Amino acid sequence: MQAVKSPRAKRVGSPSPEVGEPSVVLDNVGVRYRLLTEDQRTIKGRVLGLLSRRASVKADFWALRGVSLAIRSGDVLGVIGANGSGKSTLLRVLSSVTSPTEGRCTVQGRLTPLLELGGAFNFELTGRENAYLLGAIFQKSRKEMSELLPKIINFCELGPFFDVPIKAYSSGMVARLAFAVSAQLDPEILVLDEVMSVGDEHFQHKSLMRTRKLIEAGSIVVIVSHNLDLIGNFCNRAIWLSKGRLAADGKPGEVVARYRRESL
Amino acid sequence: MRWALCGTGRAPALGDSLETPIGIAPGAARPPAARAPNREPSFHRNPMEARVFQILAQSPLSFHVAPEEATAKRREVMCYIGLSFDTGAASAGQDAAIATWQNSRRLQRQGAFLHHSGRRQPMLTALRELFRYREFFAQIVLQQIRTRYRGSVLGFLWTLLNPLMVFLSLSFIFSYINHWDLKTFGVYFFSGYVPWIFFSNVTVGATTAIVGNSLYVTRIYAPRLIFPLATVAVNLVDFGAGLAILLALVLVMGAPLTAAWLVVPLGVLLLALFAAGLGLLFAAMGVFFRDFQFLWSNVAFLLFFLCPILYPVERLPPSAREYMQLNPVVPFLQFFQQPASGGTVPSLQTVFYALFLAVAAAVVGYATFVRSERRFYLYI
Repeated sequence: MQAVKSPRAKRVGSPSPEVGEPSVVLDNVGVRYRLLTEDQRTIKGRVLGLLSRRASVKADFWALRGVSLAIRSGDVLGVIGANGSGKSTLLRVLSSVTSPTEGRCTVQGRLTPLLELGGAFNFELTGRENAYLLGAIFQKSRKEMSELLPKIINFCELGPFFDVPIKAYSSGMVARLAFAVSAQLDPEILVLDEVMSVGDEHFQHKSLMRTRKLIEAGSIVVIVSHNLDLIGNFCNRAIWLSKGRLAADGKPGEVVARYRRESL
Repeated sequence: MRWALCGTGRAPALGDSLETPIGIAPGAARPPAARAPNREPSFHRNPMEARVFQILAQSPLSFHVAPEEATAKRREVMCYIGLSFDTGAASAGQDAAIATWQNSRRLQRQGAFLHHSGRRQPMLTALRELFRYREFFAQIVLQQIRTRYRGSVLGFLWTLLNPLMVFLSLSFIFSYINHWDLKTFGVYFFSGYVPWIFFSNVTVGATTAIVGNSLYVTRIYAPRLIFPLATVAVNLVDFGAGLAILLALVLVMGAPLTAAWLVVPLGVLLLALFAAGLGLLFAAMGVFFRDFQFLWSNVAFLLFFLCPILYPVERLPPSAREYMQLNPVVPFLQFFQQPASGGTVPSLQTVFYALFLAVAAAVVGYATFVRSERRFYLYI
């Protein structure tokens, strides 16, 4: 067994060097969603349903099924697929927002998701307050966040807007703040959902450079994007999800080519 | 070659059906147990390794390539995740992922950033995780307190003003109508009202704790327990303010401050535990049934009149007094009413009854919550 002494191993407080690397293992993961009518979500509806003996319709569908993946340190994984193919659900499982209905997802390492626009931001709070909030979600103390703050301010280039409630922001500005904070939180696993596409070219370039740095430090990056060129150029591995199943897994060029050939 | 040992005489090709486990020819009749998770082909010595083989077998590396090339590709993947293709033994580059599986328990004990989803956490792990999220918990609590009073001139003073107004209006009306002594009745009423309003606010607030925080629940991971518990914490602040006013009232009214007041902290503790337990239960109910919040707030309103707060128990006929014991909130109220108005302490029987109720509520609430939280996403 090789002693993988990554520079991060110490920082995570991980005890043994051979398990210090960030990793994600999905083992036969399936996520089932249930489409509920309004009646099925209320006591009133349930009671009336019982009385009228209407057969309650349960519309289930599997957003993901039988997905098995091992992602290891240094992977830059691009996820492609049509709308509704389970990409976002996959990211939610990775980020533990959704527990898989079947199977298991094991994540080792500090995972920072950037899911929907604005993520967990509270739009009533200012950029600064939101930075602290996001830091708290990722278990950073106020003191640690205060130390990181100059870097964040510098990176997001929001200027005076940093102290304005973010409901006044444009979507690009929210994305910039979100990325700036997340990237400074030192993620070992960075999960990006279409975030890159919002910012302007300058910021996109800047965030890609920052992401590259994280990758060099041994982080895992998972990117969901409809920008196939980005996946092809930036990632070193790609998966194609089709109707919740893993349709292909391999070199980004090949996967993208196959996706283009078979689904477009 | 290991593949040769599997009885098919050929290495599996990437073009093979994805359903076919490694080592079984696509045409051959597959034994029914082949896909059962614990019946791996016997050549795998290490179950973890076997699992990885299975994952690979199912993962569709199905580029249309020639069999030889496919074998090479699979070999590449095997090396990639750190298993030697030929020996099957854990090789020099053993993948961190496999090690993580094997070491997950130990790692978790040592507090590494490790998260399994798809399994319920043991209670101790859950509590330890809650502690790691203390900063977020504090932020949620502060945010709720701040947004409640944001934009109001008096700010935090409202916390003090509201119970004071209730005290003045209700004690004046009732002493005027019923000709009860304003001083005695006022203190009696307020000593029951302060714990009651804490209980009521926590349980009613908890019904929307998850649904109201859907922003956090659907977008990031944080222990779900945080949200109902934050409701408890926010209301504890109000509870403290209310108790301070009660103490001040007792002193102003000239009632003696006896040693019986020492049971009040115990009362706070037990009532908070009881309310938190019910709060966890109701938070889960509130997710699954959207109208539960309206149902409970009405029940809570009725329950208020079933508690001896606006009237002393002694005023009830003896037959009704028996039923009063069925009200689970009553024993908790006695921790506040008895020291404040009589200078006495609740009987040992009451203390144990309250303790039993609090622990039972906490156990039931916690168990229900953690058992159902995995299904929250279906309903939010």
